[in-house]
Amino acid sequence: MEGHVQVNETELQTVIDQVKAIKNGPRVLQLYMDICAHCGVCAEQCHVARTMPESRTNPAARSDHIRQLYKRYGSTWGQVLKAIGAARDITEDEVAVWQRDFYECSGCRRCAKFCPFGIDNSILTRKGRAVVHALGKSPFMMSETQRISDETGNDEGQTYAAFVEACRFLCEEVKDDWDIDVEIPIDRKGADILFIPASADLVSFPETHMGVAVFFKALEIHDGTTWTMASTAFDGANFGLFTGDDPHMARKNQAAYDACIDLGVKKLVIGECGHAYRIAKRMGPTASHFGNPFETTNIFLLADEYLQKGVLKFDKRKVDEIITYHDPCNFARSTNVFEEPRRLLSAMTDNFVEMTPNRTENWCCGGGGGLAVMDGAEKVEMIDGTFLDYRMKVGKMKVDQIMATGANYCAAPCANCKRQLMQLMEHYETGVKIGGVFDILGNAIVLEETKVKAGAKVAS
Amino acid sequence: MQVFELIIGKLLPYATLVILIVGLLYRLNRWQRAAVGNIALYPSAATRWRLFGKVLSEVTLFSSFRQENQALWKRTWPFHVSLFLILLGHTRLITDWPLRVGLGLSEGTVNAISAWGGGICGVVALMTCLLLLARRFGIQRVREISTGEDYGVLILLLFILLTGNAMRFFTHYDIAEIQQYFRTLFSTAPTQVPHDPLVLLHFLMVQLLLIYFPFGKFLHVPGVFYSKTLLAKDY
Repeated sequence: MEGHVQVNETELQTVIDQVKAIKNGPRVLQLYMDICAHCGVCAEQCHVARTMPESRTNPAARSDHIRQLYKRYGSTWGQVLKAIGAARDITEDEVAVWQRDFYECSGCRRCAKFCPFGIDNSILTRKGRAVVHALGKSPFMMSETQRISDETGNDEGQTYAAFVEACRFLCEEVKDDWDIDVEIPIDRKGADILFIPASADLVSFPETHMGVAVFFKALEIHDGTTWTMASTAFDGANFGLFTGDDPHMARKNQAAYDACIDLGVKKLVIGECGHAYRIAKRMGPTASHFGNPFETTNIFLLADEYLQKGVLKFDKRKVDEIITYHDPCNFARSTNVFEEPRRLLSAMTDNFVEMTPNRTENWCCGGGGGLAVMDGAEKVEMIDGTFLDYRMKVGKMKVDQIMATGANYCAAPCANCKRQLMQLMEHYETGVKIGGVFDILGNAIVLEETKVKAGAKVAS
Repeated sequence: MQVFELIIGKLLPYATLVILIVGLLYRLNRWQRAAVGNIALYPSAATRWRLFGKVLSEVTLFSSFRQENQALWKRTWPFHVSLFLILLGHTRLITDWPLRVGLGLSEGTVNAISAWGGGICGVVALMTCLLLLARRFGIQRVREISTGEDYGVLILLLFILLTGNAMRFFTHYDIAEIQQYFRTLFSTAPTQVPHDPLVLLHFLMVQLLLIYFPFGKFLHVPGVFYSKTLLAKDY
């Protein structure tokens, strides 16, 4: 039996070193090491802990992986703290456990909403994932997506030709479906707006992107606002947020920054992708606090601004769906986008219904934190079953929540949410359609008549 | 007995005071100096005053989980409030309450407030402490994350409350003597340590708590001001 358990001492030392480094790390990590009192409130507020009631899914228990090692190795009194149970020694399968457990948390931040001590477990989840990533042990699709993104500039690995072709094809689709002439400009210098969606919208959720093109058409007709996409940065999605890989996150966002500068745009507008907006607005080089020569905003804020001005007109008769809205965690809790999509949807239909709870207290779809892209076991050692099994299990609450509204269309402006929800609706055979907000907008919008002709002339 | 009195009453208090103050300052200094990132959790507080109000309501009313977990709130809020009032009441041992003179209260009134207020708070704190302990044992999701520290801290508090309540309700103690002791403790001419073993036991356990304060979960008391601010702030 000798050599049965392969203990990699160097790996364990890396874990210890990275955990000890928290001592000089950000305030938030230091606090979270010190102040958890194990009250158990988070377990009631977590969709994973509720649907898989095992001790390892308890958010406090998951965060304790880091906390107890920190106290054991980062404190002079490590042995004393161990004696009273506040600390523990590192175990042989530590890395394998982290790899499984930190990818069972979607980082949705709902627990932070209710924690009496103000602990946001998603930050510890990201820290745990960062350690796993540093050891080269991120689940396969996570590291693979990052690799593809570094190679091609987008998570789907689309080439420039494929991107241009996709845009051209979508313009044709808009013409066929809604009888509107649009164009999707690429690398147009001096445009007012650079638009960056999640590139998954171009491949997997094209109707959202079509709706966006129609929306920009309405703006152009109204006040001559011009927009463009960039061939060097047409993907705002960024797995660096999910794997805890800060350099990757900065690198990818840098491409967006460079494109803004090259094209000389006034505004960077992020599409229906919450985590892309969170990074662009707050974390990467395009973040607003750097005093960049362009403004960083998102498509909902922009559309709502024009809606308030009375520019956007909709024909409610074109929308027959009963629509509900799912707040993606990164748009709602993390970037304050609550009312804008609701105002837009309410302007498009009288059949808008809320799910309960909603807004800041909304339940995660179960696919957050990058989980939605993972279907198999993803080379995660200790996982039982696959990520798809897991997601279908923890997403049950979301399904029930949507079904209770009686809606037959759920708008979820996030590529992760969309994929997870589509799979959920299929798995539980609900028949509810999943899509974005702009899918509906493209269908319902009424463009200003006289100027449509002028627009059509330009396009032809 | 003499030795115990010397250790608990004359020597340990110096160590306790130093460890508590140095330990807390060390920790606060670390938090204060550490880098702050933008981790706003929306809806956030847009202005300085709103932030102040939000953090205040969090730390005084425990508002974030009040609606969601009323069972816990009904235990933990009275628990913390009564502990805070008990702490406030104990300041009477070291100062003659400038407030008392300011408000024009007689010594008798203060004694009455102490007897009633202290008595009620003592009972409430003891009951809620027991309920919190029962909760730790009784609820699976709480039990599975409970460590020796979590139980130990509650049991220590339980004994402090038991001895404190025993003094108030079952034995006669001389408040003047204890006041005299505390007011001269750190002076050049300290008076005698009270002989009452119950007082000594109570005092010993409180000192153990204070020594442990800067090292374990009690850090949630100063820490919650920082963490709530980090989440509620609009950067």
